[in-house]
Amino acid sequence: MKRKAYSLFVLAAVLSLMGCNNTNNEISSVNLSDDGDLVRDENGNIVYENVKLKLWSVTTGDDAAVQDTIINRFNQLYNGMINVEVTHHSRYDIESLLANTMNFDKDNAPNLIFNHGSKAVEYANNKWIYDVTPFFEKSEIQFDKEDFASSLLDAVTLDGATYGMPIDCHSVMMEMRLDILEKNNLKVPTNYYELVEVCDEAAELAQNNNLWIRGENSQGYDAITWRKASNAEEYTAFPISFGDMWVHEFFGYTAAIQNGGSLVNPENQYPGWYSQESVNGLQVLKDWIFPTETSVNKNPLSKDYGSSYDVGDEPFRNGSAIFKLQGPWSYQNDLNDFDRTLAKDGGSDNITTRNIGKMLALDDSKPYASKIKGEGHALMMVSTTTSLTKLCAETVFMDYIAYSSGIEWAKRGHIPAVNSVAQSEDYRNDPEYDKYIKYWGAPEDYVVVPPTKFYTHIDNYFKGALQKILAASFKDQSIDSILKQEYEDCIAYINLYS
Amino acid sequence: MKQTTTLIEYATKKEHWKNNINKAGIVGFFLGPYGICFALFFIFPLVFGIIMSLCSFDGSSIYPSQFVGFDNFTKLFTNPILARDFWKSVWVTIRFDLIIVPLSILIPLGLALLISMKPPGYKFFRSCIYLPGIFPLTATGLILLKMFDYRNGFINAFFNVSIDWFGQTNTAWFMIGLFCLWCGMGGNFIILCAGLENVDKTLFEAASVDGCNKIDKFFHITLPAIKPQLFICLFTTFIGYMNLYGQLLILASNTPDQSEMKSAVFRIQDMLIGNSKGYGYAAAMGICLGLIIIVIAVVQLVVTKERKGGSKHEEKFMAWKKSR
Amino acid sequence: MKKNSWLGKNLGKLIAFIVLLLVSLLMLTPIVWGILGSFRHYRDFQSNSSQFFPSWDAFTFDGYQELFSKTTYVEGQGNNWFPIWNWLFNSLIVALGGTLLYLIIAAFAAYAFVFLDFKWRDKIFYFLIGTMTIPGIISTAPQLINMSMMGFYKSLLGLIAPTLGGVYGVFLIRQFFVNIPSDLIENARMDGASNLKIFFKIVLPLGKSALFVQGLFGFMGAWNDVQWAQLIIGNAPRSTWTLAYGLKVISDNSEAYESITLALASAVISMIPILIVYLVAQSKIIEGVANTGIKR
Repeated sequence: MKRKAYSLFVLAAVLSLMGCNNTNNEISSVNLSDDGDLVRDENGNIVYENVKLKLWSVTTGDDAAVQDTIINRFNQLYNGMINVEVTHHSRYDIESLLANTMNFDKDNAPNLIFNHGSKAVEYANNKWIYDVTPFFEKSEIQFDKEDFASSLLDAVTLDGATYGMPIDCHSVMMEMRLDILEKNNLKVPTNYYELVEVCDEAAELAQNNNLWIRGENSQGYDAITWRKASNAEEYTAFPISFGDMWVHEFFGYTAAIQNGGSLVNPENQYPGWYSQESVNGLQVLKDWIFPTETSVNKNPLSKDYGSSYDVGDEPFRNGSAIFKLQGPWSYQNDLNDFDRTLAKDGGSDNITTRNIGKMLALDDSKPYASKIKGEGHALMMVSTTTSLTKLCAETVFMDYIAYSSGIEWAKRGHIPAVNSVAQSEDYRNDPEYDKYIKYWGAPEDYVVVPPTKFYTHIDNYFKGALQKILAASFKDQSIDSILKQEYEDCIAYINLYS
Repeated sequence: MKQTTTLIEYATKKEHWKNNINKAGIVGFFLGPYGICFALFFIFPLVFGIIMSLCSFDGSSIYPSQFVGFDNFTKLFTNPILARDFWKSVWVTIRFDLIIVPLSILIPLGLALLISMKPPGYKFFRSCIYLPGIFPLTATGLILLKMFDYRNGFINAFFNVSIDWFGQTNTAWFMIGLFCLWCGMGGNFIILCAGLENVDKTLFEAASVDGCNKIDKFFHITLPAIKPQLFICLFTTFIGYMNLYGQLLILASNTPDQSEMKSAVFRIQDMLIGNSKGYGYAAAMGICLGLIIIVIAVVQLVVTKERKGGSKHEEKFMAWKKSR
Repeated sequence: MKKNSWLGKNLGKLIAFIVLLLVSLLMLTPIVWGILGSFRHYRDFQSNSSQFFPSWDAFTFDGYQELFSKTTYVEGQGNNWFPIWNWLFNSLIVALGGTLLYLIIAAFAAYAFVFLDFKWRDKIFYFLIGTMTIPGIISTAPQLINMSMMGFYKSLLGLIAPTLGGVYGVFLIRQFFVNIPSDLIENARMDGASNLKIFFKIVLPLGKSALFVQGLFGFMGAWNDVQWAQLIIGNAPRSTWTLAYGLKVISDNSEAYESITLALASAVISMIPILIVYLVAQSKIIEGVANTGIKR
């Protein structure tokens, strides 16, 4: 009896604990009808005096360094008025750090988050972030939504509320060896059919021991001397693999989109990637590695690299490939590399870059053929902040980042989300723009995953399907059946949660 | 009748009472500090976790929002997708356990026996065998990933083969097993080494005098003497690999057939990503897994019949010696 | 004849030697590759991946340099501040402090479970073992809530406290205590020795290899822990991080292509203290028992 009473007591204690903590999680609300703690000068402008803001950013490495300089510039400009202190967290950590802060440590939560736009809906569902529009109205800073790339803005918009300001977008891009193309009289491809033609021809030249290549390799060749590709091994011009993040983050989705597929069904936020169009697109990718009688390419464009990753890097450098997929943020590094290794013969002019628009499209006259699946960063306002002054200062900062990081941020592969920035003279006249940024396209070419509460599942199950489609062990299974199976599993999990 | 209690009775009772208090004090002294920590840092979260399995979550908070009884548990059996994936993952885990657990005990046992023969340099060997275990798992995993890479790996080049070790279900499981043995058997090895060091040497001398051969000595002296150590190795290795997760995450994230690669804990972990709506299911899955482990562990317990007294095996040895 | 008998006597040792040598080589090969890799330029991993040894011109200290280059705080450069010496100190506190505390309370508890007689002793013990079967994953979130309620969130105490409730160590130490002949204890009791005296004079010397093994495991677990550390101190100021977590952050924050050299370098660095603990302790303690033997 006694023990039973005791266990009941424990149960009650724990439950009441849960109850009282629950109230903790209510959204803090801000009264926008009056000015709150805002101070205005005689002209009615808001006075910012030593407003300190905390920003969490998902950028790391060199990206983080560039972002720091942009923010330092902002801090100097607004010296004594607004100061933003940034903390960088890797994308593997930021989610759990944020969840913990919002659950246990709200006092130390950041004021702003710089993270992928696709996270916005999830955060909004958790009531962790604000609809930003009212605060822009309050601070009288214009948030001209017409000027932003529509897909990026859509990604942070749900039920009419805008949960962040898009800053940029990025995707995977192609690099190509101009020297090898020229030496073999091959031209720079502009669409899928031309790409296949180049790769097929290179493969056939190599079979007859007629393909000129060059690059340092472990057999003792140096970077600058031309040699004929050995026909002992099959030559593939464009290595990809299912283990490669470029493929499962960007290339796979792009294959579906460029052939008319969609990522999310806009009506119910369910996955939209099970369709004949997606099947056609993914067939292009499968043929890339396992060509058949009916495929456009006669020879494989890539060996079967299985679960390996970063498979293009080494062949691209040693000359046994012409193309590779790469994150644009690494392009400056590659330019430096070629400047070094081919210093006596043109340096970095031996390589160039293109976006992957039309590179997977079976019909490039279609409007969607040039679309690229990307991912965008957005700045979001965390709902733990209740000071109107801080909130208005945040809008000042967001506006600055969106309109003034332009070319510097683009050199790291982040195309500005604002159209007027991408068309501005500052941006277009920069020598780096002419050298490579222009090849990465305009913000309107990029498509990101539309807002959905089920992002995690939609993304995971598509990646699962993609890996199977490109894997040798599933070669005999039809794309349609793989996609269907993963789609049904995905739907089943989504239904379980709703 | 209370009044009739005699003085003697009273005295013995009091003595008894005092003794009891004294005894309780001693037990409290030795067990108390750990008991408090155990309750605060182990039982409390565990009870909370069990309560979580009876609740649903709103998606944003890690605190439960509603009490739903055994709903989460019924869903594990009735919801087609949840039932299929979870029980499949449990089966995948058990299947792997059946192979890896015996290996993780027998190999270290063999090595520990060799060490106990004290060949030249045995201290060095003992360190070498334990060394991989002290590297962080992420680092050792990275080493394996790079060494066994399909197109560029050292192993494929050295043995002149072309196997995508991490790209097919069977070879990927082989690699997981290799990983578990390479980095995981050091613990058992150390325990068994220490256990073998404590075996009473006089027994061996006695046995030698009686003309026992080495195999007899092993089965009738060594093995019984390290039975407590073998038991803990068996029990904890089994539990450890029923909770297999990290090794899979590191090595098998790119293996195409994920449903064949996901262990039970991996599935549970999957329920935790995104938002907190899956927490209830995750907790229920955890408890189901725990129950399965208990059942198998009890079977183990009955089969191995762990003994308490330290001198028991000697008595048994004497009896065995007599019977010869 | 003489030679033959030497061989006959030592054949077992010879075979043991050869087998152990082979196994040790197998176990060490990848580790040596990893240690060499920490001095290897990241590019060499790709271009010379099929070579066991890095090529000459790929030798680099970059990984180590990166780790030790940003140990002092520069105003406005908080994101490039990696106070490794602070982390080392914190890790030592957590690993040593936690392990020692736990060893004391666990050894006491194990003593109670073996040598004291009380009601439900074995039942309680089996209950203890039983709780081990519940996967730790379900108590992760509650434990975090627990730590936050106790005020241990963002504090090193939050890393130490949960280890004190562990069952494994009590179980392990008990399994070794069980081997201690019970008549030794009985005799001491007859002589009027108190439980504390028995514990320190008889049980501890005979069972210290168990304490060593558990100490090693506990130290290693605390030293290498990253996941729990991230939950507890991930949001804390950098100076309260532990070495393992700090190194992980450095590696996550580096450019992806460099990270392999860096990851291996940080693994080598974090391995050294455990190696020292192990090497010092192994001869002192395991051997010590063997020399004392169990005298009756």
